Amino acid sequence: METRQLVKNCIDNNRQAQQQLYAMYASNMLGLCYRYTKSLHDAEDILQEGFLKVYSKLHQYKFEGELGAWIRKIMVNTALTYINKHSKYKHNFNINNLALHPIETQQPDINVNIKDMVECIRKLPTAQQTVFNLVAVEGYNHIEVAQMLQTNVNTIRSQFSRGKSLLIKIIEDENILTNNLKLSS
Amino acid sequence: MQNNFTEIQNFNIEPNKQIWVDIEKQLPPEKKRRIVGWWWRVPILLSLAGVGLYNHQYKTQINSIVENQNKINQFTKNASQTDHKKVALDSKKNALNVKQNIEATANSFSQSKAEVSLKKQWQSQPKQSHKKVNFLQANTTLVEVNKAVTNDNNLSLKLSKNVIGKQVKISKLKSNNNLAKAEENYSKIESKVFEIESKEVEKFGKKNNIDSAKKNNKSILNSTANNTSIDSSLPKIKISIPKKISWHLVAGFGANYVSKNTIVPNFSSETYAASPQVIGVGLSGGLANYNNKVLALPQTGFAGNVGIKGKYLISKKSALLFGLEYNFLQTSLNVNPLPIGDIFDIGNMQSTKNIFHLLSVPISYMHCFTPNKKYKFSIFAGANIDFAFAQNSLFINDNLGFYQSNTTNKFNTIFGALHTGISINCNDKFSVDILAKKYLSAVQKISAIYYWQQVNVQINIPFATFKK
Repeated sequence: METRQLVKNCIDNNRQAQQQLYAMYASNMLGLCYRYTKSLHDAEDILQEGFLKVYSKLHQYKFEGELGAWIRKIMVNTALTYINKHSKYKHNFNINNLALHPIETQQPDINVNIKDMVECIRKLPTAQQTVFNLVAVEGYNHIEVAQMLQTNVNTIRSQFSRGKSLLIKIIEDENILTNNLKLSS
Repeated sequence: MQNNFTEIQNFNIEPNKQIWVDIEKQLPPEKKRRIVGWWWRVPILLSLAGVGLYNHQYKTQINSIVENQNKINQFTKNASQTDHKKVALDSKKNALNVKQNIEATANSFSQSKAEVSLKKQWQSQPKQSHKKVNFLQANTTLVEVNKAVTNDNNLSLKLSKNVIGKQVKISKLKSNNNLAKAEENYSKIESKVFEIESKEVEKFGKKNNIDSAKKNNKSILNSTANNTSIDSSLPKIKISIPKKISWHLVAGFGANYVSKNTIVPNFSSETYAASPQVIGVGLSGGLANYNNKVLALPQTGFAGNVGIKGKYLISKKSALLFGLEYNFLQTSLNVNPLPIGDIFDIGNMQSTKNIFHLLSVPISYMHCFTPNKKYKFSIFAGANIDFAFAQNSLFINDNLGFYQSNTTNKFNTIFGALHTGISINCNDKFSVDILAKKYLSAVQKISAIYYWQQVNVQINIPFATFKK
């Protein structure tokens, strides 16, 4: 089914179309949610909440970009709202309380399997995990991330820098270097 | 560094099927599209075609009436003129005969006596006779024209009451006008003839003149009498106004069967979403199943109805039907009574019966194809609203337990239905209908969802008729 028709059917509350849309994007979006959380159960909660938002806001989609990217944005926002709302994440998500500065380090080239890399990202403190995901993986710039997290750009830079350094350390500690993913400074 | 990490965006985790089930639960309920089978479009199309045909015929009739009325006017005018000329010529002929007779025998009688006698004769007879003759001839003309119109496509009989009334009114007006004209013309002719006669009598004044005049006048009288007899022998046109409302006793019986069998309840949408292929929505032949094990197997049953029906004739071909009926519906079901979790065994099924008692209000439109024949063939289509006032039916609860229930709130009490069929009326004595009926409302409110369909044969016997 063509995307435009699929979206139209979803807006018309056609259950089959909604299920088809879910089947198309669910696995990738669960991977996204998984990167922002500490447990699969939380990721599934975000996925569920996110898809409900997608269905309710689908009429706002103007077909200007790829549907997958639009859904991804909603999922990221849902994940941010989720980790901001739940205490177990809020406890660690204290970007504003940190007076951080970027750590300038020389980082070696490292190769890591994607799945292992995701697991390593999830081992970062929540704030660094979130910033790292937004900047390194989603591709937002520091200013955009600062606006999304309602904090200042320097804090984002510090968190990202620290997160990156910590991530390399985790990778080295875990001894999971492979040739799959090249991590260079 | 960022470019390399974007590859992580492709990281996928296959979600648990339960997630979709949970999402689906929170989504607004999908509007169930009630798909009316294609064959139900047939009566609707037929009804529309019938209405279209009726309108077309009505317009054609109106055009024909106008055309025929013009013909009548022209014909009457010509006939009237011809009559006047003919009578005038006859009168002149008579006058000439009188003159010849007078010339042949002329001599003896006094002038005054002859004059008085002639005056009396002309005053007493020709005026009324001529008037009558003209009136009768005018009417005869109309009747002939109407007869011609009747023979030509039987149009007069097709006219609606109002149109016929209008035509009759117009004809009467024409007759009155013709009568007035005829009277005027005849008085002129009369005076002219009388003038000639008087002059002749005055000139010759013989007794034989009177006899001759008498003879001539007698022939005119005979002619008048002959004309009258012609009038009485003319065929009479009967314009039958259709009976407006007739009441009928209705009784019928037939087969009732379940059309859409999804006795698998919607008790567990999550299970369905997880593996829709397992639950299914009913195998062919109306077999419902759960995990490929039989739950219930609906059978055909008995349907009966009795009531009264009103028939309002809109025109000779179309009628509106309405009524009040009691409907009895019974459907047999083979049910495996074992609860969920146990093995469902098709060989272990028990038979049970669903029984519903309904009050039905049907309304339909009927179109007759042969209104003038002894056996009138019609089609009809319409809708019902049925109210179930008692029932005892199989019910499947959310836990898949089967039990018989007469609890009202488990079932729908108001049912919508469409019906269509054919009807054969035997000389207005009785009519036989073959009727197909499809219920649009599900039998049960929740859980098991199935719809009735019926095929009935019913007899209608008229017991009261009201004419307008």
